[in-house]
Amino acid sequence: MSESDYKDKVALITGASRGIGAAVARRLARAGVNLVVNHREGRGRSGKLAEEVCREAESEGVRAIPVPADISSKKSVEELFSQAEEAFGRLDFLVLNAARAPFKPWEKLLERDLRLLVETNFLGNVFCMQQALPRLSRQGGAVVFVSSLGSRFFNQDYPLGTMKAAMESAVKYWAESYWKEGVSVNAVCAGLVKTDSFKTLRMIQPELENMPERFFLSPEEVADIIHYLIGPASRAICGQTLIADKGISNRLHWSTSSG
Amino acid sequence: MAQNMINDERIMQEVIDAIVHTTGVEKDTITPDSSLVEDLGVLSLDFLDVNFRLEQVFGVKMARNFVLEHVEELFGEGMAIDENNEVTEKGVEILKMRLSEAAGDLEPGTPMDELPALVTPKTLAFAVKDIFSYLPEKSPAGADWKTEDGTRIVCSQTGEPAALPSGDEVVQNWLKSLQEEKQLF
Repeated sequence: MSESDYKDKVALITGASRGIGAAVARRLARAGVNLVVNHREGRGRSGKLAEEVCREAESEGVRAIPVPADISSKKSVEELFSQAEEAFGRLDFLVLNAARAPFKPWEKLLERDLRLLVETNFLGNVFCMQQALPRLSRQGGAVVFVSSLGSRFFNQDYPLGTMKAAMESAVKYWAESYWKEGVSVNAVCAGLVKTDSFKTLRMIQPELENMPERFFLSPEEVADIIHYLIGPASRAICGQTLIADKGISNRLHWSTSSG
Repeated sequence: MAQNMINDERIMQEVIDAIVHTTGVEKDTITPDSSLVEDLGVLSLDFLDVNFRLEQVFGVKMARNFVLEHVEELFGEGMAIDENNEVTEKGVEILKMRLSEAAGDLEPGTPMDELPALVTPKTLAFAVKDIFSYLPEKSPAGADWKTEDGTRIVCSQTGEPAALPSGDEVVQNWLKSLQEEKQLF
């Protein structure tokens, strides 16, 4: 795999102001990929964080722009992709990383929670795909969806897992439809990653505090897999979800001392 | 009285330390009334770290859900937050009672996204104090309580930590008694 497979290409990463999204931005910038760093509009510091991610990327010699958009809005997604097109004139990679969800058990979800769950984590990703697929390069274009183990295992207070499962399924459909056109679609299913979301998970499941360190991944490790999945070395993989979890899903039991 | 085993100054000091420790904000920039989001530039996600540290320091369980979410769980969707994700009149009334001066200027129609700005060291300290207010006079062993490291309440005989309700239970209790008293919903 050579640098030229990535250099001067353009990636749009949703939810890239922090966590896995920001790590992907840094990884791809190192490979020479220009970036559209999407973050959700709103109060707080996500705008500033996205600008920092872009500055860091530019220090690697690529171009990077922050674009705020809430992917749950179809109109905002349309604007996001037209801004990306205006800025770079091409699109090679899409990383569907953004997620937003209530952390509650199913029986306590209000209609508002359910709508948030579906509108951001399913419809939002579908809107992005609708905008991206006609634009993606037919020579090496690639999409990677960031999933989590909640897609296949019960996790108290983690209804997001059901949307991750729906998306893993959607990835197969898109992969089949676009394979012949030269666009690959795959997913990476990450285990326990220490990002901001982990802070929430830890509050709900205090026992995670005792989980042996060997089961935790860094956002950079997930970013490396995404770098692989958008590149030519993974060209035989179609519609799959790669599990990257340091082996935690291999087992029913673990001990606090040895793992 | 059992409730005052950990004094207010100590609680405030630990709250400020938790903010400093988890967010890197300079200690002397923090006052009891600083808005964590507006004045100190803390991300609302970092509240989780602050709360997590307070849980470890005090041996309590802070609320996972915000007071208005509890209102809706208990009294029905739409009571405190409207379809545009804005605070209703009732929601404002509840917040003013719960957060007192921290919610002083709050108006109906405020987007929910803006509510994290209401969190101050004072509101966090109140949340901790409110949990401690449920400490029974005596431990299950019939003994007095004592503190460990000045912040954790344990039985003076057995050393067992005091079983206190979670922050969510405390908020729900408060809402239920408010409802009994005022019939707001």
